[in-house]
Amino acid sequence: MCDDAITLCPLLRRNLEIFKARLGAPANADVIVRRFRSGAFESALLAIDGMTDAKEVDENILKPCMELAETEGEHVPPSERVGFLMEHAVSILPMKMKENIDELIADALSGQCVLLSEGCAVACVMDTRGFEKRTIGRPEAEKVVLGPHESFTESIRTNITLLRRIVQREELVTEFVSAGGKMKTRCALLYLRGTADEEMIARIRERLLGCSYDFALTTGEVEQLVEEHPLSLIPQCVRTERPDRAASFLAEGQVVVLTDGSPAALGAPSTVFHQLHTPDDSSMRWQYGTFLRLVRLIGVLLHLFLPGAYLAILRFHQELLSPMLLTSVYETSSRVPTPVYLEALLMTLAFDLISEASLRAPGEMGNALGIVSGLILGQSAVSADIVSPLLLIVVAASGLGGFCVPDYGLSVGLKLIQLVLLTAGAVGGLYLMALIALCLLCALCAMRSVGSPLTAPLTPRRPGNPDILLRLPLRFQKARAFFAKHQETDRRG
Amino acid sequence: MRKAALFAMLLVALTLLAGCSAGGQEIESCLFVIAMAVDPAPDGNLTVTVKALSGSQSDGAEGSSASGGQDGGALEGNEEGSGQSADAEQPEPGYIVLSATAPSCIRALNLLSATTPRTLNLSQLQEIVLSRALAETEATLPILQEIHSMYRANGAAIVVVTPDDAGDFVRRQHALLGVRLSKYLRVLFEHFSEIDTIPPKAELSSVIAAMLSRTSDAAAVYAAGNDFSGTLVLPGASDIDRLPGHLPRTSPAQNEYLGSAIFSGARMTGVLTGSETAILCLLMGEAMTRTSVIDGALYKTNVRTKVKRAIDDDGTLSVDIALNLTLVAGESTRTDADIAAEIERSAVNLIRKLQSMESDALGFGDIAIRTSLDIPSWEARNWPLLYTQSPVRVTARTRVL
Amino acid sequence: MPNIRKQTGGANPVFARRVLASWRARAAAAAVAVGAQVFSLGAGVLMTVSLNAMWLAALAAVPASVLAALGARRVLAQRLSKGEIGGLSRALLAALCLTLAAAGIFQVAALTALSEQSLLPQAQSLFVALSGMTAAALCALTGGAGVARMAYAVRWALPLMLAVLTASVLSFDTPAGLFPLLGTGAKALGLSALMALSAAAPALMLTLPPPELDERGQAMAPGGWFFAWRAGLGALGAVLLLMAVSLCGTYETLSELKVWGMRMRVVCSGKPREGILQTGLTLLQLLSLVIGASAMLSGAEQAAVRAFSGLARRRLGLGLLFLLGCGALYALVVFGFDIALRAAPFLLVPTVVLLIRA
Repeated sequence: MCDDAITLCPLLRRNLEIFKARLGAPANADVIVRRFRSGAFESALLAIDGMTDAKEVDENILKPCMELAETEGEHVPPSERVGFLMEHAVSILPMKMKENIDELIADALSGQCVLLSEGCAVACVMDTRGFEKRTIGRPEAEKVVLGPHESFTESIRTNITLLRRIVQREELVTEFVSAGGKMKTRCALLYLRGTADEEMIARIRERLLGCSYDFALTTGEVEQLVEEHPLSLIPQCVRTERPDRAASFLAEGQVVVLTDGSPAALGAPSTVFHQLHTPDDSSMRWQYGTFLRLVRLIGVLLHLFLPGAYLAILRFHQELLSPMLLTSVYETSSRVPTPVYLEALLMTLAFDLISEASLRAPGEMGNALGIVSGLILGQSAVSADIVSPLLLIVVAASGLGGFCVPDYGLSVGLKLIQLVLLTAGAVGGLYLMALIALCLLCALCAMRSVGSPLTAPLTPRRPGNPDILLRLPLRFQKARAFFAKHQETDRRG
Repeated sequence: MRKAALFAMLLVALTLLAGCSAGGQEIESCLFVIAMAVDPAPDGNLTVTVKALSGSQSDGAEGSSASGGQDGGALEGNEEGSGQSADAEQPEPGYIVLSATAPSCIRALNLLSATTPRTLNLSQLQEIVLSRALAETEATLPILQEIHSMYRANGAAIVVVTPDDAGDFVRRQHALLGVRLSKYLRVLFEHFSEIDTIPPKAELSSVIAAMLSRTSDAAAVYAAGNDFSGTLVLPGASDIDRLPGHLPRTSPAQNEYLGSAIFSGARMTGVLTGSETAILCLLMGEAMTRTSVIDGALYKTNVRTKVKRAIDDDGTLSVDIALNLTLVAGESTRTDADIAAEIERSAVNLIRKLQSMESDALGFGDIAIRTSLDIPSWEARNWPLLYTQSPVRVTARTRVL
Repeated sequence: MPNIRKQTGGANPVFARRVLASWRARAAAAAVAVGAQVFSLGAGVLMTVSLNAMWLAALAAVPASVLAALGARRVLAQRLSKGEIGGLSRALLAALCLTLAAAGIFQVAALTALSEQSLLPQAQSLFVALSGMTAAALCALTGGAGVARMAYAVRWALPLMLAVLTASVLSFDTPAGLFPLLGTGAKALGLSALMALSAAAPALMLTLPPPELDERGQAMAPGGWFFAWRAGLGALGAVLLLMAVSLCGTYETLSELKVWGMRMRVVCSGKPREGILQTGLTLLQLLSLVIGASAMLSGAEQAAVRAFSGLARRRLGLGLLFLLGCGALYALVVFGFDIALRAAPFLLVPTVVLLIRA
């Protein structure tokens, strides 16, 4: 039995040798192996320095065990010694009994303590995590005017707690899944039992377990594992850093995936409409919410089509311009040295560069960047006849429309589509733009998110919550989303 | 297999498409024509004059003039033309005037394209001016069709007929108010349309459709230049009961748009004065709100009900109008019946005048055609002849409020 | 959805709803395709024969579409359901494939003709044609599910916007364009009506079930009238649009329109609105044609895969159809669209012959 390096053996010395060899101790200074006398037998504690709460380990594990009398436990069978300690000495609440060495090492690396005893081939894993973590702050990318201002943190436990505070239901299930190859990342699948579709849950679980990547996964990478169309420009899951939004996903019958080390939650399946919703829509009265959604939709359409349509009209459909506008454009275009397509491409690229740079530039510099780029560069470019002022307005309006997209992943995807439509407008006018837009829409309609159509419930028709484009009054939102199981589609009660 | 098929499909498509052109061009490579004129030239040729955007605020130079001989191909200097052009008013900044002479309109336009380093674009055309001499021939329709279909001219461009030289008319046309000629012309035609001094449906596509049609005839705008030498105020029922070019006024703008050029088929057969044009608009149901001066009193007119045009069983052309007149200023000295009788007289005179011109500008043919089941039976009726011989009846009911 | 619910015995309403949603999407695609075919044929062929009465002749396509949809569901579904198919059924499927492919290519040709005269007058015809064909093939790449759902999504928006834009560009002062009612005569009208029957060809795509349904779902289908009224509405919408074209001018102006693309434009001579409204209307027509062509291609692909077992790999079928379409369009561009217009009235003949034999 002791030749088996997969499971524990009754010899404490042998077990500790295996652990030390695997973890590289004593060269690896972070590994703590503490042997002590616990009553009538010897025990040992395995932990990683800095990952555990030392005070908790001292007071709730070491001290009580070491204060046991020398005769305590002498009649306890060796295989039950660890259990004896858990019942009579240790006062840590979350604990599990395990014997697989790989699992024990993974648990120790995640900040838990492993308690071993002489003669016992089972160890106890106790949650004594006490590493430094960020406090709950405000969401950075999903700011709202009304509504809560809490956001997820990098600690998966804290995130689960934040969700459980909102969703206080016995049906809320947390399933932990370790995803990855040699380096495992702890993920949590949260769903409402009886509301979420089991087939969907199984599909997500299977994809996570099937991951063999050997690096620390973030929410973004988990999203790429879960999605069905990796080549698509449109994300198929919805990401949020807000617990209230994640809670609404649960209520709709979606599965929320939390990843240890990432301050965001993933909701799957989702629709393309979910990615255009913001928490503000629900917090406000339905009239304001509807109005803001329409504004956002107009912003998206402007972002996608305005630059391409501008080019198409200038190059192919000049009859659409009013004579006044045509004269202005004609005069300014005559002075610009570059073709209008190149001009538009450069301006779009410049806009993207500025927005990317302002994201990366620290604090004060980011503010100054906007002033420098907008006022100085833009004004100078127009004065020097490098770009036409109308094109500058078009690109700026289109960029503003892009900022209306709540989901960052979707906004980047839409930027790429905008470039495609821009090129189409320059090459084939409104004709080619219409063809490409239709191809993209058909592809979107055929896409799925964990088995659910991405454009449902608009098409194909699915019964459920009609809160799609318009934010209807609460009294009309009588059903859950179509993801939910049919038994609980009525949420009036 | 799916990805391979997609790739193969795109590859084939791109390969085939790579050799094709979509016809796009930079906007500055176009020559946007705002106004156009067609005149007859010696030896059966046509002179086409265009006023186009130059793309520069400071460029006010007169453009080149090119003409062709019998075959329309040789480029020769036309000193007489240049001399005439040099005497004309300089175009305002931002515009350039070009002309070309060739056996047909389309060849003249092609010649302009060939001699100007820009592609001719008529999509912003606001007016087409034809000389009266040309309009009274059968050549008008082919010219307008060529411009509309081959050069894709703006169908909303207004067709204007002038007794003057059409090219000079276009050269004289400036933006009197504002900066842009195109905007000025658009506002000008909208304004005159509102006060009913120009005929409705004088747009290029409407005129072409009416010329082709056997059920109605076209009416274009009549215009002329005023040299401001005539100051005589002629007595008449109305100050606009006259033709353009002789109004007792002064202004920086010489061109006057007043009245209608009436066509029978493709040929111009007469003109209507300004007040006759107003009656025409009234009878066509286009004069929904207008101001009238009757015996020194100012009335605002609302057409209370839709103007009803019909053809009675005995073939009488009948029009039924109901008018509300609201007294705005002055003192009303005439009764409802008097005013109604006056309107009836004017309307009957107008319809008879149109009949004498063999022009169904009011569109009675649109009503007559409904009784024919098919095209051969309709064409066998010979409506143009029937129309000129039909009796006329106009019934007007007025109420002064 | 009484039929499907009965078929599932009410045991699985969610599955039944999803099956019905797939069928609804397919029916919407068929309706758009029928409307596009009726309009293209009406403007291309019927107008040359009956002039302004072409909308009256096109009315014959409405009952033809209804009957075609009914026939597709009731008669052919039994013969062509999954499983062993005999020689005659295989021939029927092959004929169906050719009919749908020809209808799809015809709609791409119509798209090319319309775009050349409105949106891209300076472009090379080959560019316009191949772009349209590529777009239709790409939309059909997902087996028809994407385009069917797209058609379902715009099932009310598309006809509504077409109606609004058409009303805004038309002048309703005098409906002179509708008269004389019988156009060039009763005989010509009868001939046009006969030719209009072939516009019902796209309704035959309802023979085949949506590919995204599994075995169980394919066996369940709504009744014939579920599809018939949709196909009929699609045809009726096209008839109304043809009526609008008649209203645009008199029969004389229509007779002057020698080019197919010019005849498809809804441009009112009495109230020229050549601007955003006109362009918007043309774009909507364009979208209808692409959706129709794509639906036809995906239906042809499905029929081909069933008829020819060597084409079991689906994308090969679509690739071959795409190449066939490109070749046909190239020939049409070189030799003129008149060939397509002359062949269009005979679209239904092979399938009808085989149906009668069956």
